[in-house]
Amino acid sequence: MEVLKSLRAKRRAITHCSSVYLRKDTSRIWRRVILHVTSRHSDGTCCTPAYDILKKPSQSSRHGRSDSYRVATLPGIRDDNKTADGMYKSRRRAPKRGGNLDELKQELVIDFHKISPEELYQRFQTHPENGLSHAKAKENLERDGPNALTPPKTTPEWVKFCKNLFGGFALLLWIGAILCFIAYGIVASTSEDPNDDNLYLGIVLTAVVIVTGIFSYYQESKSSKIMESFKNMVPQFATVIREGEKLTLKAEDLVLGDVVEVKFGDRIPADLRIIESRGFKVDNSSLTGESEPQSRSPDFTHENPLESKNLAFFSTNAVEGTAKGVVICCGDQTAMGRIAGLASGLDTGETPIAKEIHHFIHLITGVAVFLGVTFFIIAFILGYHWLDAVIFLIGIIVANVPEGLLATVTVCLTLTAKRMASKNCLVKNLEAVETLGSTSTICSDKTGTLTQNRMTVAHMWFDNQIIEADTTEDQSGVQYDRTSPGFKALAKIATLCNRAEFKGGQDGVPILKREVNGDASEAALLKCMELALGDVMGIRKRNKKVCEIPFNSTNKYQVSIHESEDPSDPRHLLVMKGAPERILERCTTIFIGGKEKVLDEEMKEAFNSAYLELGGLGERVLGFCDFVLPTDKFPLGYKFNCDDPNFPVEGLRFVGLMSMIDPPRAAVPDAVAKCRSAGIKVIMVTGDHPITAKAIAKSVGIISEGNETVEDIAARLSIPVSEVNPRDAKAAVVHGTELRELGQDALDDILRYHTEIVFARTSPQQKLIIVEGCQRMGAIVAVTGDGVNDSPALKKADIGVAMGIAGSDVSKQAADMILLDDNFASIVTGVEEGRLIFDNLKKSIAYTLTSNIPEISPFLAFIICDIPLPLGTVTILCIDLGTDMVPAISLAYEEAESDIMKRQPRNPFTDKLVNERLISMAYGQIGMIQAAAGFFVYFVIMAENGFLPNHLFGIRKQWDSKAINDLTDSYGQEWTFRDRKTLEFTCHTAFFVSIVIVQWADLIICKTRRNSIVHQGMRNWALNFGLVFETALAAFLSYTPGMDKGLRMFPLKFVWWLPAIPFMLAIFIYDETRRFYLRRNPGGWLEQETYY
Amino acid sequence: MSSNITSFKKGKKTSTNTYEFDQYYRQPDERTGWKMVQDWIYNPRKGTVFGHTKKRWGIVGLFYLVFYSILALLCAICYCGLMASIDLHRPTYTLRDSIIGINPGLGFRPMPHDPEQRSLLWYASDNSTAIREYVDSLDTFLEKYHNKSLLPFEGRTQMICDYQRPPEPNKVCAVDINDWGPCSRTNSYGFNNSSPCIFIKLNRIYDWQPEFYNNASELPEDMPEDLKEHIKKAPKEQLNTIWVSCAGEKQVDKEHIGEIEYYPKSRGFPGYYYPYVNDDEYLSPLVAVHFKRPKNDEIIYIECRAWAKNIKYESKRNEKIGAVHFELQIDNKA
Repeated sequence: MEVLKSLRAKRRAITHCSSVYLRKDTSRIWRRVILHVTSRHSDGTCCTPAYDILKKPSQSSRHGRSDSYRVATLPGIRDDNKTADGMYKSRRRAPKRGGNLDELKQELVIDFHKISPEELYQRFQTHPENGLSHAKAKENLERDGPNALTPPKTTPEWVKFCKNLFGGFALLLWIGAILCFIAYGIVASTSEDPNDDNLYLGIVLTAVVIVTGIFSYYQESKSSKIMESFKNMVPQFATVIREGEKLTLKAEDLVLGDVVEVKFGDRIPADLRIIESRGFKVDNSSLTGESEPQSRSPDFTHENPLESKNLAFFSTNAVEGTAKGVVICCGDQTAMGRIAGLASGLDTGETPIAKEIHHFIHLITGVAVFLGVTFFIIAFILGYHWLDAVIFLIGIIVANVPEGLLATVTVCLTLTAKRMASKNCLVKNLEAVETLGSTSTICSDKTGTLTQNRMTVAHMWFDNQIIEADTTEDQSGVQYDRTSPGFKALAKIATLCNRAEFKGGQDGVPILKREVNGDASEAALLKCMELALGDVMGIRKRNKKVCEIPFNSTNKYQVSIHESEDPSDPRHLLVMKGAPERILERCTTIFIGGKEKVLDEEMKEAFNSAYLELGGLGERVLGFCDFVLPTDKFPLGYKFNCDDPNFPVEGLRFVGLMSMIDPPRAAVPDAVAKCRSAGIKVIMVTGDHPITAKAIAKSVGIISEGNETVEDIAARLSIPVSEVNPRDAKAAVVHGTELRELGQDALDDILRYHTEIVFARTSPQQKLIIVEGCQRMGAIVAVTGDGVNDSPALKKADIGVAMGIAGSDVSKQAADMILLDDNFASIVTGVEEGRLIFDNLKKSIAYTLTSNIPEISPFLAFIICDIPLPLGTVTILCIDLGTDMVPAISLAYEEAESDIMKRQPRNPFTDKLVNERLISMAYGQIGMIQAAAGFFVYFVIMAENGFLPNHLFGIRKQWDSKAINDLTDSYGQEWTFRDRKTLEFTCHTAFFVSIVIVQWADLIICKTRRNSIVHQGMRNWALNFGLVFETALAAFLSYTPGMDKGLRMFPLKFVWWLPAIPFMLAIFIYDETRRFYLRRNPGGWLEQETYY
Repeated sequence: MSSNITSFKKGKKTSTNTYEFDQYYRQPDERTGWKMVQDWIYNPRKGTVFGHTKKRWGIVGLFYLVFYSILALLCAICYCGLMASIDLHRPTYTLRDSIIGINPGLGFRPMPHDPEQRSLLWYASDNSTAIREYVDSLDTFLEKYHNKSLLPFEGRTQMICDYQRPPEPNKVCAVDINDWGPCSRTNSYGFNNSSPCIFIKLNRIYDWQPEFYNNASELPEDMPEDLKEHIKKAPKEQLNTIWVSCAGEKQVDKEHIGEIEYYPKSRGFPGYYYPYVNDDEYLSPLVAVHFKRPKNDEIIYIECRAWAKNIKYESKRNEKIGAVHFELQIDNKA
């Protein structure tokens, strides 16, 4: 094994290797060699963090001894372009990560946060003050390539076009066209005066496929142009220290080991190990989903690199403070880069509707081949020449292919996509339109998808009562009472003890949407106060701040001292806010009901219960207290010392609590309820805290009232968690660390037996694993998300839904559907439309397939009964591509028959788009009636012109012979070839017209599968138009002069439109009766046999 | 398929007014393709053959039996209606109403026996089998003419007609087989002597009445001169005839065709045979065209045409209206 050899060599070179171990499964030599190596180059820089090597068993076991040459050079291992010493072999960039997805699925395993700073500098050969040398930087740049994410592979346009031209249905038509050309070739080469029909048919099929392919390609390219490029992800410039000087470089030029300075407002340019920080906080929401800014420091706090405080990650935002750090990973190796790589590398698989269409094609092909072969044999038995029999075979197979169906399906899907776009759901590829309708599970991200991604004050506690604040986006909720003195005091503290400020130039913007400079919680308080009091800046100006101690993590409070605005009152006001229990420690009195009371046990109890309650809601609670400094000790102009407090910070007056939460979006609870009543399971998958996640799940409806988790049951019954039967708990909250230890079966158990599930603290890789678990259970999974951490799951899901406004470009790239207005409720629309289009496609297919039987049976009768051909190829094409198209498409506008949102999602294994029942109805029942109508008209015309029915049998050869110019009919008249061909073509026209007439009835009965037409009504105006249009087209084709030359369709006497009418009525009456019986006996054998 | 009926049931209503469904997971089908086909054909576990149990097949069979019987009944009723509206003696639509139109075509006999050969009459003058075939086919064609007992009423409704003596009601005009001169059966229709006779007949159209060229001064331009002469010389009462003329198509054919003689002498179809009204014993009048001395070993393209004011003539490459086309080649290697 080449890598093993190189690793052995590396081991010699490695001096600081911490954990290198080989584990061999000795039962099968080299069957499975797992290396966990954090290997490094001899200069200490890192290469790929960890990788999992699996050997193919067949290769290794075949070759015996493990260290033989042959085994050593088996090409099972990916070439990582490195020599034995770890140096890159060539001067090209690091190899593309397209290969091994399993590697990317592993959790990030690095140790840069664990090692000491000296070791860090040693490894990267850098210095904290001076940074890298220019030469070293240049060398690193050449070795690793620029610090940029490789954009995902885009399929070239011609590949997309070819997929549209040859995919699915179109393939069937291509095969049909090729068979036609073959048949024409045979006929042309063997006879002098070949029949052109096959050639025309082949050409028409080809044209249909090409036109439809171009159309769907055009549709898809329009929606993909909306996708922006990847480049917005990359931050632009960074401040780098090299050789002691500060430079401003493009972020792409950063290399491993560079020393970078970041300040608030910057985007982090690469994965950094923090070596110095001053009040530094980052917002990791796009990586972990956590909305709360995380403070960063040089300390190693946690094993998990995503949790540890001394790492900052590429493309997250710095929201506060400044810091200096060493670049440890850049470009595709960063955490963000690995996720993006995982997302691009995933294979999306086939959409459900594509599977259905394939199933349908198999079914149709089966029927076609069966019919073709049967009649081939029969033709043989009847004595036809084998060449003729082959032509018949080809003709029957091609006639079975519904030419217009491809265009119909495409247009139906396009119409639905346009309808959804008008409701602000952009669908990127046509097939995804239907997928939401088949969805049985939705895995939703929390932050930004279910919630507004904006901290808002939700509750307050003062005057010993919990008051609910209004968290709606437009302040349409209940307003609280703002006149009590308790509130006024609380509001004053919240306003003054606050460093957040609105950004300038936002006068017209509603308060809740304004941008704020500062911490998220302070921003929430600011907005709440602005709404309650108005003009916060004015209040602050009037209460001038003279001293402040900012928040620090040891004290966990923040204090400021202000001059009073009341000119008559010279006293200073000290205001403090912070962690509630710390605030309470420092208070001796409490302000309740306008009066100051001593803080006794009863009050402390009240406080504790309020604090617990608010904390249990998953909200972040802050305590507020104040103190009026007496003028004797602290007169105006007193010099307050902030570094060493010369004022009391104990014995203060407790005023109240305020708690905040990132509230759910307004439309979400309703949407979740609708999804659940539609039988769709909603699972929350988030990177945030479990308690917050559970609280939001409860408020949104993912965990319904009365359902408990295992922990809830344990708390209620006061027994340990391990004694609770997991099956008793309907709901479950699973922590990411637990998830890491669970195997596939345990995960499947959770997914199977709990109806309400919340996954919290999940990494992006874990989200992917959850989606895969659901798919293993046979569910069709929709994933909603907005951040980079959602993108692998978005890609893997059967349909990924990204937020249009708040979503990152990576997630929009990976998703199949984009909600342009970030409205989660649009998903309900998507489900409804998807289910509706599935039903309507069924109806459309049933309608189109029915006309196959009256198209094929004339040909069969021609072969077997030896009668002149009742229906020609051109007229068949007129039906399939002319008169049947508009009505079939108009069925897409059909309304839902019953409440489709109260049905279970369809089972993708058994509820197929086209099943045997549909075929039996279309081919075996309605189709037969239509064929009978056509044949009746044929015989009527023949008889009325002189050829009585019994005379026609056996006459075929003479009829078609050009030599016979005087064929005798039943009345002794003699017909020339031309006249009788005119008669035959008139029969074709009449057969065509009678198919149109019976298709009226077919269209009306296909409108509904269960309801009566009386109930459904004829409100589908597109369908009514379709009826009129198809009749008008039929009349046009028949009566327009000149049609006889081109299409060989002759004008009909009006009475010849009538013979088909009894059959039309028969179809209508039969189906109404059938449906009546179906409604009376649900579940009976008639339904099992005929309800599709 | 049968177990998952999509007649929808609502989920159980929970206390919070949401509906819940029990089945949250589905088992994917893990059988291989071949096994699925096998199972579909015969599944011993479920007792199904081709996807349904025998009882189901019974029900299905019964259903379709009833369905098709009713459909057949409907068809039968319709056909009875059709047949009731049809007059067995006279077509529902005639002449212009019908597609047959008002332009009869022409036919020739003998037809070549090989339908691929279409309109080529070709034989070697010493090939007695080929000659025999042609003669036999003419014999078959003319058997009703020769043997009146083959007619449905043994010829009782036939009478001898003349221009002055049209057929009486319920009677048809007979065709005189002795008018054909050397083109008689005893003479093998001339085939033995390399001077074959080809019989031309006009297609029958119910109720069609010809408009004759019966005025010698109003003859069309393209009528051949010999026919014009014949018409000028014809006795007045014989002018109500549909004239027949045959000629080579191109100049070279005109040279090779040699002399032509027409039998009967009236050189046409006499007017008293028309209109045709589907009498049982009606026999079409024939004109025998005797090619006395066609050039041997050459293919000769011949076109025969009928002349009446309402017989439209059109000659296109493949089709002719109001005329018939055939080729004649007699090989004489000797």
